Amino acid sequence: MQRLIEFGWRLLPFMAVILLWYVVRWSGVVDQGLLPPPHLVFLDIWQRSVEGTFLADAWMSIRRVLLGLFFGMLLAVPVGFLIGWNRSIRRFVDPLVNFFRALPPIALIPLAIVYLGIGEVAKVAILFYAAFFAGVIVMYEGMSQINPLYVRVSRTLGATDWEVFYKVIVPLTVPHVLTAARVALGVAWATLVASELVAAQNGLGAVIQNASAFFQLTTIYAGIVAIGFFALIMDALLRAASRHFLDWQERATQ
Amino acid sequence: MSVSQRSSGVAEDVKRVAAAETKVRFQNVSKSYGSIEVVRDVSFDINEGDFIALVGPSGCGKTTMMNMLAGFTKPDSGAVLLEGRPVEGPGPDRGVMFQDYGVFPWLTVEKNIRFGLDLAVKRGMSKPEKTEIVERYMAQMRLTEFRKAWPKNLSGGMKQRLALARAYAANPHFLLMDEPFGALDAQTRSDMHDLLLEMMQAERKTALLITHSAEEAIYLANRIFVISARPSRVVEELTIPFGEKRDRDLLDTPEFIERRRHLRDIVMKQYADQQALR
Repeated sequence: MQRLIEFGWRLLPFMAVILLWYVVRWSGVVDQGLLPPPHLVFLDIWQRSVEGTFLADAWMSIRRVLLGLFFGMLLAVPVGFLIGWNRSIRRFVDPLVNFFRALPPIALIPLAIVYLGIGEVAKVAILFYAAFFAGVIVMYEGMSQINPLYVRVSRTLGATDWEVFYKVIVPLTVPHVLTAARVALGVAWATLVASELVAAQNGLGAVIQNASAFFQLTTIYAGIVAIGFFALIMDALLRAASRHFLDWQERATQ
Repeated sequence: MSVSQRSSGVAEDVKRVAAAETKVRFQNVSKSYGSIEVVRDVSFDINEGDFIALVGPSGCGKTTMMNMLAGFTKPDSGAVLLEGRPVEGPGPDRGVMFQDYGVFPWLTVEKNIRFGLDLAVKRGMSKPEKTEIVERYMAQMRLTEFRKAWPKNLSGGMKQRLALARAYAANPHFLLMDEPFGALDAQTRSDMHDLLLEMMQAERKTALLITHSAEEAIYLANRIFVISARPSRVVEELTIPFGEKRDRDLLDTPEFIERRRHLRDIVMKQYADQQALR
Protein backbone atom coordinates (compact mmCIF):
# COMPACT_ATOMS: atom_id res chain seq x y z
CA MET A 1 0.00 0.00 0.00
CA GLN A 2 2.81 2.35 0.97
CA ARG A 3 4.53 1.54 -2.31
CA LEU A 4 1.37 2.10 -4.30
CA ILE A 5 0.96 5.56 -2.77
CA GLU A 6 4.62 6.32 -3.45
CA PHE A 7 4.17 5.24 -7.08
CA GLY A 8 1.05 7.39 -7.32
CA TRP A 9 3.03 10.42 -6.17
CA ARG A 10 5.63 9.79 -8.84
CA LEU A 11 2.94 9.52 -11.49
CA LEU A 12 1.04 12.60 -10.34
CA PRO A 13 3.19 15.28 -12.03
CA PHE A 14 2.92 13.48 -15.37
CA MET A 15 -0.84 13.24 -14.97
CA ALA A 16 -0.88 16.97 -14.32
CA VAL A 17 1.10 17.67 -17.49
CA ILE A 18 -1.24 15.48 -19.57
CA LEU A 19 -4.19 17.27 -18.04
CA LEU A 20 -2.65 20.63 -18.88
CA TRP A 21 -2.06 19.37 -22.41
CA TYR A 22 -5.78 18.60 -22.77
CA VAL A 23 -6.73 21.94 -21.25
CA VAL A 24 -4.50 23.87 -23.66
CA ARG A 25 -5.97 21.93 -26.58
CA TRP A 26 -9.59 22.44 -25.50
CA SER A 27 -9.15 26.06 -24.52
CA GLY A 28 -8.50 26.95 -28.14
CA VAL A 29 -5.36 28.96 -27.40
CA VAL A 30 -3.54 26.78 -29.90
CA ASP A 31 -5.04 25.63 -33.21
CA GLN A 32 -6.38 22.15 -32.54
CA GLY A 33 -4.77 20.87 -35.75
CA LEU A 34 -1.37 21.85 -34.40
CA LEU A 35 -1.69 20.06 -31.08
CA PRO A 36 -2.75 16.43 -31.18
CA PRO A 37 -4.45 15.16 -28.01
CA PRO A 38 -2.42 12.89 -25.71
CA HIS A 39 -4.52 9.79 -26.29
CA LEU A 40 -3.88 9.93 -30.05
CA VAL A 41 -0.15 10.26 -29.35
CA PHE A 42 -0.20 7.17 -27.15
CA LEU A 43 -2.32 5.34 -29.73
CA ASP A 44 0.27 6.29 -32.36
CA ILE A 45 3.07 4.89 -30.19
CA TRP A 46 1.11 1.68 -29.73
CA GLN A 47 0.27 1.26 -33.43
CA ARG A 48 3.80 2.00 -34.59
CA SER A 49 5.18 -0.40 -32.01
CA VAL A 50 2.86 -3.24 -33.03
CA GLU A 51 2.84 -2.70 -36.80
CA GLY A 52 5.89 -0.62 -37.52
CA THR A 53 9.50 -0.22 -36.54
CA PHE A 54 9.02 2.08 -33.56
CA LEU A 55 10.52 -0.32 -31.01
CA ALA A 56 13.42 -1.12 -33.30
CA ASP A 57 14.06 2.62 -33.68
CA ALA A 58 13.88 3.09 -29.95
CA TRP A 59 16.34 0.26 -29.46
CA MET A 60 18.79 1.78 -31.95
CA SER A 61 18.69 5.05 -30.00
CA ILE A 62 19.09 3.34 -26.64
CA ARG A 63 21.99 1.30 -27.95
CA ARG A 64 23.79 4.40 -29.21
CA VAL A 65 23.27 6.16 -25.90
CA LEU A 66 24.51 3.18 -23.90
CA LEU A 67 27.60 2.70 -26.09
CA GLY A 68 28.45 6.41 -25.99
CA LEU A 69 27.92 6.53 -22.25
CA PHE A 70 29.96 3.39 -21.70
CA PHE A 71 33.01 4.53 -23.67
CA GLY A 72 32.67 8.10 -22.43
CA MET A 73 32.67 7.04 -18.78
CA LEU A 74 35.38 4.46 -19.44
CA LEU A 75 37.69 7.35 -20.29
CA ALA A 76 36.15 10.02 -18.02
CA VAL A 77 36.75 8.05 -14.82
CA PRO A 78 40.53 7.57 -15.15
CA VAL A 79 41.05 11.04 -16.65
CA GLY A 80 38.93 12.61 -13.92
CA PHE A 81 41.05 10.70 -11.41
CA LEU A 82 44.30 11.97 -12.88
CA ILE A 83 43.32 15.63 -13.04
CA GLY A 84 41.63 15.48 -9.68
CA TRP A 85 44.68 13.95 -8.09
CA ASN A 86 47.72 15.45 -9.74
CA ARG A 87 48.22 19.19 -9.77
CA SER A 88 50.55 19.37 -12.76
CA ILE A 89 48.34 17.12 -14.89
CA ARG A 90 45.41 19.32 -13.91
CA ARG A 91 47.29 22.44 -14.96
CA PHE A 92 47.97 20.98 -18.35
CA VAL A 93 44.62 19.33 -19.04
CA ASP A 94 42.25 21.80 -17.41
CA PRO A 95 42.30 24.48 -20.16
CA LEU A 96 41.91 21.82 -22.85
CA VAL A 97 38.97 20.22 -21.07
CA ASN A 98 37.31 23.62 -20.69
CA PHE A 99 37.86 24.44 -24.35
CA PHE A 100 36.44 21.21 -25.69
CA ARG A 101 33.67 21.14 -23.16
CA ALA A 102 32.47 24.54 -24.34
CA LEU A 103 32.01 23.18 -27.89
CA PRO A 104 28.51 21.80 -28.28
CA PRO A 105 28.82 18.21 -29.53
CA ILE A 106 26.23 19.02 -32.18
CA ALA A 107 28.71 21.40 -33.77
CA LEU A 108 30.98 18.44 -34.36
CA ILE A 109 28.39 16.45 -36.29
CA PRO A 110 29.54 17.76 -39.71
CA LEU A 111 33.14 16.86 -38.86
CA ALA A 112 32.10 13.44 -37.62
CA ILE A 113 30.28 12.85 -40.92
CA VAL A 114 33.35 13.88 -42.91
CA TYR A 115 35.74 11.63 -41.02
CA LEU A 116 33.54 8.78 -39.85
CA GLY A 117 30.69 8.73 -42.36
CA ILE A 118 27.06 8.49 -41.40
CA GLY A 119 27.18 5.04 -39.84
CA GLU A 120 26.98 3.94 -36.25
CA VAL A 121 30.60 4.81 -35.51
CA ALA A 122 30.01 8.50 -36.20
CA LYS A 123 26.99 8.65 -33.91
CA VAL A 124 28.59 6.72 -31.08
CA ALA A 125 31.69 8.91 -31.43
CA ILE A 126 29.63 12.07 -30.97
CA LEU A 127 27.86 10.59 -27.96
CA PHE A 128 31.19 9.48 -26.57
CA TYR A 129 32.44 13.04 -26.88
CA ALA A 130 29.36 14.43 -25.16
CA ALA A 131 29.38 11.85 -22.36
CA PHE A 132 33.12 12.14 -21.77
CA PHE A 133 33.23 15.90 -21.24
CA ALA A 134 30.09 15.96 -19.14
CA GLY A 135 31.39 13.09 -17.03
CA VAL A 136 34.98 14.23 -16.62
CA ILE A 137 33.99 17.58 -15.11
CA VAL A 138 31.79 15.96 -12.47
CA MET A 139 34.51 13.41 -11.75
CA TYR A 140 37.24 15.84 -11.03
CA GLU A 141 35.08 18.30 -9.16
CA GLY A 142 34.19 15.32 -6.97
CA MET A 143 37.80 14.20 -6.64
CA SER A 144 38.87 17.62 -5.44
CA GLN A 145 36.27 17.42 -2.67
CA ILE A 146 37.71 14.25 -1.17
CA ASN A 147 38.54 14.89 2.47
CA PRO A 148 42.31 14.48 3.01
CA LEU A 149 41.57 13.44 6.60
CA TYR A 150 40.71 9.92 5.44
CA VAL A 151 43.98 9.62 3.58
CA ARG A 152 45.86 10.74 6.69
CA VAL A 153 44.03 8.28 8.92
CA SER A 154 44.74 5.40 6.57
CA ARG A 155 48.43 6.39 6.48
CA THR A 156 48.63 6.31 10.28
CA LEU A 157 47.18 2.81 10.17
CA GLY A 158 50.02 1.82 7.85
CA ALA A 159 48.45 2.00 4.39
CA THR A 160 50.82 2.03 1.40
CA ASP A 161 50.25 4.35 -1.59
CA TRP A 162 48.42 1.58 -3.41
CA GLU A 163 46.29 0.77 -0.36
CA VAL A 164 45.40 4.44 0.10
CA PHE A 165 44.29 4.43 -3.53
CA TYR A 166 42.10 1.35 -3.65
CA LYS A 167 40.88 1.23 -0.05
CA VAL A 168 40.22 4.95 0.46
CA ILE A 169 40.19 6.93 -2.79
CA VAL A 170 38.23 4.42 -4.86
CA PRO A 171 35.33 4.02 -2.39
CA LEU A 172 35.16 7.79 -2.02
CA THR A 173 35.02 8.13 -5.80
CA VAL A 174 32.09 5.78 -6.42
CA PRO A 175 29.45 8.44 -5.61
CA HIS A 176 31.05 10.82 -8.09
CA VAL A 177 31.21 8.15 -10.78
CA LEU A 178 27.49 7.56 -10.42
CA THR A 179 26.71 11.28 -10.46
CA ALA A 180 28.95 11.74 -13.50
CA ALA A 181 27.13 8.89 -15.24
CA ARG A 182 23.77 10.52 -14.58
CA VAL A 183 24.91 13.88 -15.93
CA ALA A 184 26.57 12.23 -18.93
CA LEU A 185 23.41 10.25 -19.60
CA GLY A 186 21.30 13.39 -19.82
CA VAL A 187 23.76 15.05 -22.17
CA ALA A 188 24.03 11.89 -24.28
CA TRP A 189 20.26 11.74 -24.84
CA ALA A 190 20.14 15.40 -25.82
CA THR A 191 23.00 14.95 -28.25
CA LEU A 192 21.64 11.69 -29.67
CA VAL A 193 18.47 13.20 -30.96
CA ALA A 194 20.34 16.07 -32.55
CA SER A 195 22.71 13.71 -34.32
CA GLU A 196 19.86 11.50 -35.47
CA LEU A 197 17.92 14.48 -36.73
CA VAL A 198 20.79 15.41 -39.01
CA ALA A 199 21.80 12.08 -40.44
CA ALA A 200 20.17 8.80 -39.60
CA GLN A 201 17.96 6.24 -41.22
CA ASN A 202 16.75 4.87 -37.94
CA GLY A 203 16.43 5.82 -34.29
CA LEU A 204 13.91 8.01 -32.50
CA GLY A 205 15.49 11.19 -33.89
CA ALA A 206 15.00 9.84 -37.43
CA VAL A 207 11.39 8.97 -36.63
CA ILE A 208 10.80 12.58 -35.63
CA GLN A 209 12.66 13.90 -38.67
CA ASN A 210 10.65 11.70 -41.09
CA ALA A 211 7.38 12.60 -39.40
CA SER A 212 8.25 16.27 -39.70
CA ALA A 213 8.82 15.85 -43.45
CA PHE A 214 5.24 14.59 -43.78
CA PHE A 215 3.87 16.97 -41.14
CA GLN A 216 2.75 14.06 -38.92
CA LEU A 217 2.49 16.03 -35.70
CA THR A 218 1.14 13.11 -33.71
CA THR A 219 4.20 11.03 -34.54
CA ILE A 220 6.54 13.91 -33.68
CA TYR A 221 4.94 14.02 -30.26
CA ALA A 222 5.12 10.24 -30.02
CA GLY A 223 8.86 10.38 -30.64
CA ILE A 224 9.37 13.12 -28.06
CA VAL A 225 7.36 11.29 -25.41
CA ALA A 226 9.29 8.07 -26.07
CA ILE A 227 12.66 9.81 -25.73
CA GLY A 228 11.61 11.34 -22.43
CA PHE A 229 10.30 8.00 -21.25
CA PHE A 230 13.47 6.04 -21.97
CA ALA A 231 15.73 8.75 -20.58
CA LEU A 232 13.67 8.74 -17.40
CA ILE A 233 13.86 4.94 -17.07
CA MET A 234 17.65 4.93 -17.49
CA ASP A 235 18.05 7.71 -14.96
CA ALA A 236 15.83 5.83 -12.50
CA LEU A 237 18.02 2.74 -12.93
CA LEU A 238 21.15 4.76 -12.16
CA ARG A 239 19.48 6.28 -9.13
CA ALA A 240 18.50 2.85 -7.88
CA ALA A 241 22.13 1.77 -8.31
CA SER A 242 23.22 4.81 -6.28
CA ARG A 243 20.84 3.95 -3.49
CA HIS A 244 22.09 0.39 -3.44
CA PHE A 245 25.83 1.15 -3.48
CA LEU A 246 25.77 4.36 -1.47
CA ASP A 247 23.72 3.31 1.49
CA TRP A 248 26.52 4.69 3.66
CA GLN A 249 26.21 8.25 2.39
CA GLU A 250 24.52 10.98 4.34
CA ARG A 251 21.71 12.40 2.28
CA ALA A 252 19.74 15.52 2.97
CA THR A 253 16.57 14.08 1.40
CA GLN A 254 15.65 11.20 3.67
CA MET B 1 42.40 7.94 47.54
CA SER B 2 44.25 9.40 50.52
CA VAL B 3 47.03 11.94 50.38
CA SER B 4 49.64 9.51 51.68
CA GLN B 5 48.82 7.05 48.91
CA ARG B 6 49.17 9.76 46.37
CA SER B 7 52.54 10.90 47.64
CA SER B 8 53.78 7.33 47.29
CA GLY B 9 52.46 7.66 43.73
CA VAL B 10 54.78 10.61 43.28
CA ALA B 11 57.75 8.55 44.41
CA GLU B 12 56.79 5.87 41.91
CA ASP B 13 56.50 8.43 39.16
CA VAL B 14 59.88 9.86 39.91
CA LYS B 15 61.40 6.40 39.81
CA ARG B 16 59.71 5.63 36.51
CA VAL B 17 60.83 8.87 34.92
CA ALA B 18 64.38 8.24 36.05
CA ALA B 19 64.37 4.75 34.59
CA ALA B 20 62.35 5.60 31.49
CA GLU B 21 63.96 5.68 28.10
CA THR B 22 63.43 8.59 25.77
CA LYS B 23 61.08 7.64 22.94
CA VAL B 24 60.62 10.99 21.25
CA ARG B 25 62.85 14.02 21.22
CA PHE B 26 61.89 17.42 19.85
CA GLN B 27 65.25 19.06 19.19
CA ASN B 28 65.20 22.84 18.57
CA VAL B 29 62.23 22.43 16.27
CA SER B 30 61.05 25.45 14.26
CA LYS B 31 58.38 25.67 11.60
CA SER B 32 56.84 28.48 9.54
CA TYR B 33 54.01 28.57 7.06
CA GLY B 34 54.89 31.32 4.65
CA SER B 35 55.66 34.40 6.71
CA ILE B 36 53.88 33.05 9.79
CA GLU B 37 56.22 31.52 12.30
CA VAL B 38 54.24 28.78 14.01
CA VAL B 39 56.77 26.92 16.14
CA ARG B 40 60.00 28.46 17.45
CA ASP B 41 62.89 26.48 18.83
CA VAL B 42 60.92 23.88 20.77
CA SER B 43 62.76 21.14 22.61
CA PHE B 44 61.36 18.43 24.86
CA ASP B 45 61.54 14.70 25.43
CA ILE B 46 58.76 12.15 25.66
CA ASN B 47 59.59 9.05 27.64
CA GLU B 48 58.27 5.53 27.33
CA GLY B 49 54.81 5.37 28.92
CA ASP B 50 54.37 9.14 29.21
CA PHE B 51 50.97 10.70 28.77
CA ILE B 52 51.80 14.21 27.61
CA ALA B 53 49.24 16.97 27.26
CA LEU B 54 49.97 20.06 25.18
CA VAL B 55 47.82 22.90 26.44
CA GLY B 56 47.64 26.32 24.88
CA PRO B 57 45.55 28.84 22.95
CA SER B 58 43.98 27.79 19.66
CA GLY B 59 45.99 28.53 16.55
CA CYS B 60 49.20 28.40 18.53
CA GLY B 61 50.83 25.55 16.66
CA LYS B 62 50.09 22.59 18.93
CA THR B 63 48.63 20.69 16.00
CA THR B 64 51.69 21.48 13.92
CA MET B 65 53.86 19.94 16.63
CA MET B 66 51.72 16.81 16.67
CA ASN B 67 51.69 16.66 12.88
CA MET B 68 55.47 16.64 12.86
CA LEU B 69 55.51 13.64 15.17
CA ALA B 70 52.73 11.94 13.20
CA GLY B 71 54.78 12.49 10.05
CA PHE B 72 52.30 14.69 8.18
CA THR B 73 54.71 17.60 8.03
CA LYS B 74 58.42 18.23 8.60
CA PRO B 75 60.22 20.86 10.68
CA ASP B 76 62.04 23.67 8.86
CA SER B 77 64.96 23.36 11.24
CA GLY B 78 65.77 21.13 14.16
CA ALA B 79 64.56 17.55 14.30
CA VAL B 80 61.78 15.38 15.63
CA LEU B 81 63.48 12.15 16.61
CA LEU B 82 61.57 8.94 17.06
CA GLU B 83 63.70 6.40 18.90
CA GLY B 84 66.73 8.36 17.79
CA ARG B 85 65.82 8.65 14.12
CA PRO B 86 64.10 11.59 12.38
CA VAL B 87 60.43 11.01 11.57
CA GLU B 88 60.13 10.20 7.87
CA GLY B 89 56.36 9.93 7.46
CA PRO B 90 53.23 8.50 9.05
CA GLY B 91 53.33 4.90 10.21
CA PRO B 92 51.31 2.28 12.08
CA ASP B 93 53.50 2.72 15.19
CA ARG B 94 51.78 6.09 15.74
CA GLY B 95 47.99 5.95 15.93
CA VAL B 96 46.20 9.27 15.54
CA MET B 97 42.80 10.46 16.72
CA PHE B 98 41.25 13.62 15.31
CA GLN B 99 38.52 15.92 16.51
CA ASP B 100 36.59 15.12 13.30
CA TYR B 101 36.77 11.41 14.16
CA GLY B 102 38.08 10.35 10.73
CA VAL B 103 36.01 7.17 10.79
CA PHE B 104 35.55 5.89 7.24
CA PRO B 105 31.91 6.58 6.30
CA TRP B 106 31.82 3.86 3.63
CA LEU B 107 32.73 1.08 6.09
CA THR B 108 30.60 -0.41 8.82
CA VAL B 109 31.70 -0.21 12.47
CA GLU B 110 33.25 -3.66 12.30
CA LYS B 111 35.10 -3.01 9.03
CA ASN B 112 36.39 0.33 10.30
CA ILE B 113 38.07 -1.42 13.23
CA ARG B 114 39.39 -4.10 10.90
CA PHE B 115 40.80 -1.64 8.35
CA GLY B 116 44.30 -1.42 9.81
CA LEU B 117 44.51 -5.19 10.27
CA ASP B 118 43.74 -5.94 6.63
CA LEU B 119 46.62 -3.82 5.35
CA ALA B 120 49.82 -5.31 4.00
CA VAL B 121 51.74 -4.28 7.14
CA LYS B 122 49.75 -6.85 9.14
CA ARG B 123 50.25 -9.58 6.54
CA GLY B 124 51.80 -11.95 9.06
CA MET B 125 48.75 -12.08 11.29
CA SER B 126 46.31 -14.97 10.99
CA LYS B 127 42.64 -14.40 10.22
CA PRO B 128 41.28 -15.75 13.53
CA GLU B 129 43.79 -13.55 15.32
CA LYS B 130 42.50 -10.47 13.47
CA THR B 131 38.90 -11.38 14.18
CA GLU B 132 39.70 -11.82 17.86
CA ILE B 133 41.30 -8.36 18.01
CA VAL B 134 38.35 -6.73 16.25
CA GLU B 135 35.85 -8.44 18.55
CA ARG B 136 37.81 -7.54 21.67
CA TYR B 137 38.06 -3.81 20.97
CA MET B 138 34.54 -3.66 19.61
CA ALA B 139 33.32 -5.09 22.92
CA GLN B 140 35.57 -2.83 25.02
CA MET B 141 34.21 0.21 23.22
CA ARG B 142 30.62 -1.05 23.64
CA LEU B 143 30.09 -1.15 19.89
CA THR B 144 29.37 -4.83 19.36
CA GLU B 145 25.65 -4.42 18.84
CA PHE B 146 26.34 -1.74 16.22
CA ARG B 147 28.82 -3.81 14.24
CA LYS B 148 26.82 -3.55 11.01
CA ALA B 149 25.90 0.12 11.46
CA TRP B 150 27.13 2.87 9.15
CA PRO B 151 29.04 5.69 10.88
CA LYS B 152 26.39 8.20 9.72
CA ASN B 153 24.02 6.55 12.20
CA LEU B 154 26.40 6.85 15.18
CA SER B 155 26.53 9.65 17.75
CA GLY B 156 29.68 11.74 18.19
CA GLY B 157 30.75 9.76 21.25
CA MET B 158 30.26 6.46 19.43
CA LYS B 159 32.27 7.71 16.46
CA GLN B 160 35.11 8.68 18.77
CA ARG B 161 34.92 5.28 20.49
CA LEU B 162 35.10 3.71 17.06
CA ALA B 163 38.15 5.80 16.22
CA LEU B 164 39.79 4.72 19.49
CA ALA B 165 38.99 1.05 18.83
CA ARG B 166 40.42 1.33 15.33
CA ALA B 167 43.58 3.01 16.62
CA TYR B 168 44.09 0.38 19.32
CA ALA B 169 43.39 -2.51 16.93
CA ALA B 170 46.39 -1.50 14.83
CA ASN B 171 48.46 -1.82 18.03
CA PRO B 172 50.46 1.39 17.76
CA HIS B 173 53.18 2.27 20.21
CA PHE B 174 52.04 5.89 20.38
CA LEU B 175 48.61 7.41 20.56
CA LEU B 176 48.46 10.97 19.22
CA MET B 177 45.24 12.83 19.92
CA ASP B 178 44.36 16.21 18.41
CA GLU B 179 41.54 17.61 20.56
CA PRO B 180 39.71 14.32 20.20
CA PHE B 181 36.92 15.20 22.61
CA GLY B 182 36.49 18.84 21.60
CA ALA B 183 33.27 18.23 19.67
CA LEU B 184 31.57 16.15 22.38
CA ASP B 185 29.14 17.28 25.04
CA ALA B 186 30.34 17.42 28.66
CA GLN B 187 28.84 14.09 29.73
CA THR B 188 30.10 12.14 26.70
CA ARG B 189 33.47 13.81 27.07
CA SER B 190 33.86 12.69 30.66
CA ASP B 191 32.79 9.14 29.70
CA MET B 192 35.45 9.18 27.00
CA HIS B 193 38.07 10.29 29.56
CA ASP B 194 37.32 7.32 31.77
CA LEU B 195 37.20 4.94 28.84
CA LEU B 196 40.56 6.21 27.66
CA LEU B 197 42.07 5.82 31.16
CA GLU B 198 40.66 2.30 31.27
CA MET B 199 42.27 1.46 27.94
CA MET B 200 45.55 3.02 29.03
CA GLN B 201 45.58 0.92 32.18
CA ALA B 202 44.91 -2.26 30.24
CA GLU B 203 47.39 -1.42 27.48
CA ARG B 204 49.71 1.46 28.16
CA LYS B 205 50.55 3.59 25.15
CA THR B 206 52.87 6.53 25.05
CA ALA B 207 50.41 9.31 24.44
CA LEU B 208 50.33 12.90 23.25
CA LEU B 209 47.13 14.84 23.78
CA ILE B 210 46.32 18.29 22.45
CA THR B 211 43.64 20.09 24.43
CA HIS B 212 42.26 23.44 25.51
CA SER B 213 40.91 22.08 28.73
CA ALA B 214 43.05 22.37 31.86
CA GLU B 215 40.84 19.83 33.59
CA GLU B 216 41.15 17.31 30.77
CA ALA B 217 44.93 17.72 30.71
CA ILE B 218 45.36 17.23 34.48
CA TYR B 219 42.90 14.35 34.63
CA LEU B 220 44.56 12.37 31.85
CA ALA B 221 48.22 13.32 31.62
CA ASN B 222 51.27 12.73 33.76
CA ARG B 223 53.17 15.63 32.19
CA ILE B 224 51.76 18.86 30.81
CA PHE B 225 53.49 21.31 28.49
CA VAL B 226 51.94 24.74 28.39
CA ILE B 227 52.41 26.16 24.92
CA SER B 228 52.70 29.90 24.32
CA ALA B 229 50.88 32.04 21.80
CA ARG B 230 52.39 32.00 18.31
CA PRO B 231 55.20 31.32 17.70
CA SER B 232 54.89 28.31 19.96
CA ARG B 233 57.36 27.67 22.71
CA VAL B 234 57.04 25.53 25.80
CA VAL B 235 56.35 28.04 28.57
CA GLU B 236 56.06 25.71 31.50
CA GLU B 237 56.18 22.03 32.22
CA LEU B 238 54.03 20.51 34.96
CA THR B 239 54.32 17.03 36.39
CA ILE B 240 51.04 15.51 37.51
CA PRO B 241 51.70 12.97 40.26
CA PHE B 242 48.36 11.17 40.37
CA GLY B 243 49.58 7.80 39.14
CA GLU B 244 47.77 5.69 36.60
CA LYS B 245 44.62 4.81 38.52
CA ARG B 246 42.34 7.83 38.44
CA ASP B 247 38.64 8.33 38.82
CA ARG B 248 36.07 11.13 39.03
CA ASP B 249 36.63 11.60 42.78
CA LEU B 250 40.03 13.01 41.96
CA LEU B 251 38.36 16.07 40.43
CA ASP B 252 37.16 17.24 43.85
CA THR B 253 40.42 16.84 45.72
CA PRO B 254 42.29 20.00 46.79
CA GLU B 255 45.41 18.82 44.93
CA PHE B 256 43.47 18.62 41.69
CA ILE B 257 41.68 21.92 42.18
CA GLU B 258 44.90 23.71 43.05
CA ARG B 259 46.64 22.39 39.93
CA ARG B 260 43.66 23.23 37.75
CA ARG B 261 43.64 26.81 39.04
CA HIS B 262 47.36 27.17 38.46
CA LEU B 263 47.20 25.71 34.94
CA ARG B 264 44.20 27.85 34.01
CA ASP B 265 46.05 30.96 35.10
CA ILE B 266 49.05 30.31 32.89
CA VAL B 267 46.90 29.25 29.96
CA MET B 268 44.69 32.34 30.30
CA LYS B 269 47.78 34.49 30.15
CA GLN B 270 48.75 32.80 26.88
CA TYR B 271 45.27 33.44 25.53
CA ALA B 272 45.63 37.10 26.38
CA ASP B 273 48.96 37.22 24.53
CA GLN B 274 47.38 35.48 21.55
CA GLN B 275 44.61 38.10 21.49
CA ALA B 276 47.21 40.83 21.55
CA LEU B 277 48.81 39.25 18.46
CA ARG B 278 45.68 39.73 16.37
